[in-house]
Amino acid sequence: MLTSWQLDEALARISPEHRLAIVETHYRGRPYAEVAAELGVPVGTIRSRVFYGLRALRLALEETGWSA
Amino acid sequence: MSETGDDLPQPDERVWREMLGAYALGHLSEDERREVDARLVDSVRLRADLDEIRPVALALPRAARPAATATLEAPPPELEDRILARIAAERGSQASDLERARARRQLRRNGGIAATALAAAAAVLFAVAIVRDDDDPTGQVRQTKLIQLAAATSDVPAAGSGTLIGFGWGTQIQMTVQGLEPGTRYRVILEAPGGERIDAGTFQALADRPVVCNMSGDLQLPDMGRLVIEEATPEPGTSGEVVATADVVNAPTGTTRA
Repeated sequence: MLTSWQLDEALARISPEHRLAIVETHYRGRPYAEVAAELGVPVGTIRSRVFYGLRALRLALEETGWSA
Repeated sequence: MSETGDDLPQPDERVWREMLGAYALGHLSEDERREVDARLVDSVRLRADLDEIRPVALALPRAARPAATATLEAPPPELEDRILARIAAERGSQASDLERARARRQLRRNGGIAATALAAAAAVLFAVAIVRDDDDPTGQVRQTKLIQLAAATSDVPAAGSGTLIGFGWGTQIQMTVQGLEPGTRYRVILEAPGGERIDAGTFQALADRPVVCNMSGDLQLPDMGRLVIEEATPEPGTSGEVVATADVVNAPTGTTRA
């Protein structure tokens, strides 16, 4: 079970780019194209950051004791 | 293509892999998801990449309070008090000193980056934290469940896992199944604890690889007791041998944004 504390810590440990991509697209539910335009990067870059952000987040979560 | 898509008719392996984040989080359109499903069937590597991130994607919405926001701007000075007041109002006495200290720490950690984005992101994140599965005023939060398939008979070593996503119209099933009899047609049934059975469709088992299914049925996820895979019989309304089941009642639950 993932706790809010673990997520707080894990999100804080991943790179700002990865964190931003996950927060904006997933938690804020913003369109990828909108986030991409705002940051001046291709949509594919946001997708890439979400994917690698999730991978990084898994490692960070495991450091907090979370297991899949 | 949807807002999440690039116009790449033949994406290479790297592009497919990078779509998996949006796929696992349920951000892709139907068409895009079908494309990824088809690619997953053919690519062991892609399935391994998905397996790596899927647990995190499923766990993410379960988190109650993601305060570590990614932002471009620094918070306005009154934001901390506003958020803490919101927490206190929502949680009453549960907003402990520890939580307040943690929130302050997180806000300070984000200092130096510009104001509007943090205000918006933090407000939304805390709103997400406070919203429960059943009281989202926007109707955009949907429930998910992570299921594990178990073989129902020693004759067929069925196994697999997947995600059930609850919508207002019913339940969407994303799952990977293996160990079935190649060439045999199977039916997926959504079953309520009271015995009501909803047919979610059929698929055919493959010889040398898992089946990646994307199906749906009009039984609400909270009303579901278990998912059943049985041999598909030619006669309508009849049931074949059950080869695998997944407990839905006790499956891990989360919420994600529609």
